[in-house]
Amino acid sequence: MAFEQEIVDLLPRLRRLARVLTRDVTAADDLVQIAVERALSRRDQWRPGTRLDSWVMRIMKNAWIDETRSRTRWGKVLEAPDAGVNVAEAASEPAERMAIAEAMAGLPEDQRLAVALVLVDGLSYADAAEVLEIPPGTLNSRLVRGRMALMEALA
Amino acid sequence: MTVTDEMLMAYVDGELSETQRAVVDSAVLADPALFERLEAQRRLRARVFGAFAGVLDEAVPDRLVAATKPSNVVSLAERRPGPPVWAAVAASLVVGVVAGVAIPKSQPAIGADLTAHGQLANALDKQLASAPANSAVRVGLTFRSADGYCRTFSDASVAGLACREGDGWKVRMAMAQEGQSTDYRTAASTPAPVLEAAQALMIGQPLDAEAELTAQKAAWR
Repeated sequence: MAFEQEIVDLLPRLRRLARVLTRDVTAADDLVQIAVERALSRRDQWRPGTRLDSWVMRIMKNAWIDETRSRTRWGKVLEAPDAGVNVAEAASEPAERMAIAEAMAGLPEDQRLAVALVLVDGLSYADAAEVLEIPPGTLNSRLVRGRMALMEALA
Repeated sequence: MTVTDEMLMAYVDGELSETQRAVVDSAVLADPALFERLEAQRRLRARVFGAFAGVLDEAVPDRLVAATKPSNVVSLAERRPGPPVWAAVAASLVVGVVAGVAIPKSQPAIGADLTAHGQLANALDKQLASAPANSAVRVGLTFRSADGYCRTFSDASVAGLACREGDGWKVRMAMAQEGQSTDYRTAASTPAPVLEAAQALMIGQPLDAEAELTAQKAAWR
């Protein structure tokens, strides 16, 4: 399959992951677009035979971290979600999804990324650690802490 | 052996070995409280997954599919706030070249905020593609974007794209032209990256001569 087509096929998963990171639909799609553009411009760096999904997600993770840093720098971190549709509103069970989205939004960035990759995208620990470029033990402790916090927030 | 929450999490994530699984299984059978903790982890995983599952069924926006075909789009990164990487380079190029060819050096063609000045601004304001003027700057396409009129321009060594903002023109992109010519009359036609950037911003078709004249008379509003 052509490289471009494989990326097209990944778009729904990338959008879902981005939506965990930012609840704003437009911002989430912007993040996906930046990741796709970077992936295409660096396609010579992807080693055939390795997982394309992990590679593109890693690019998206780095784009998100860049984004988060620049928003911090410009003091816009506390910006409220815009008036557009967000995950919670678009859902069929608004209260439940709102509660989960709120709880996820309350996690520190590193824990949210770990939870997003394993619980939402369903990656194995090994693949998630590779996407995040961290040792398996670090992934594990972020997952544990993230889930403990979610349990508490949703109790 | 004590079964920790960490083990229960790994259990529901399918990350335990056969042996570890068996340990958890038998511990859970013997301890209703532990069973409840395992169920709580299972429910959490299901709830978090379920909250975002709907995204997979949404239609993917066209712009994302288009982004996988890089020749059709302007990089979003380059359209983000803050001067993009090319800006400084392009500004110095255009300042040097357009200023050098056509206007006094004291009057740069593009200001620090990427607004067109001097002869470039003059050409964008007044020149019609349909009636080429005796000018170092050549205006190519004029079209409408979501934010107003945009025009491509070039001179002997630089080509770019500027869009109307307020009473001025903001240079959205500029690049060096290959095969520099000393004769402005033979300035190369609009290069592909400029056309592609234009295409990405363009709504409908480029203006024809009549529409261009009308827009110019209305001061590009």
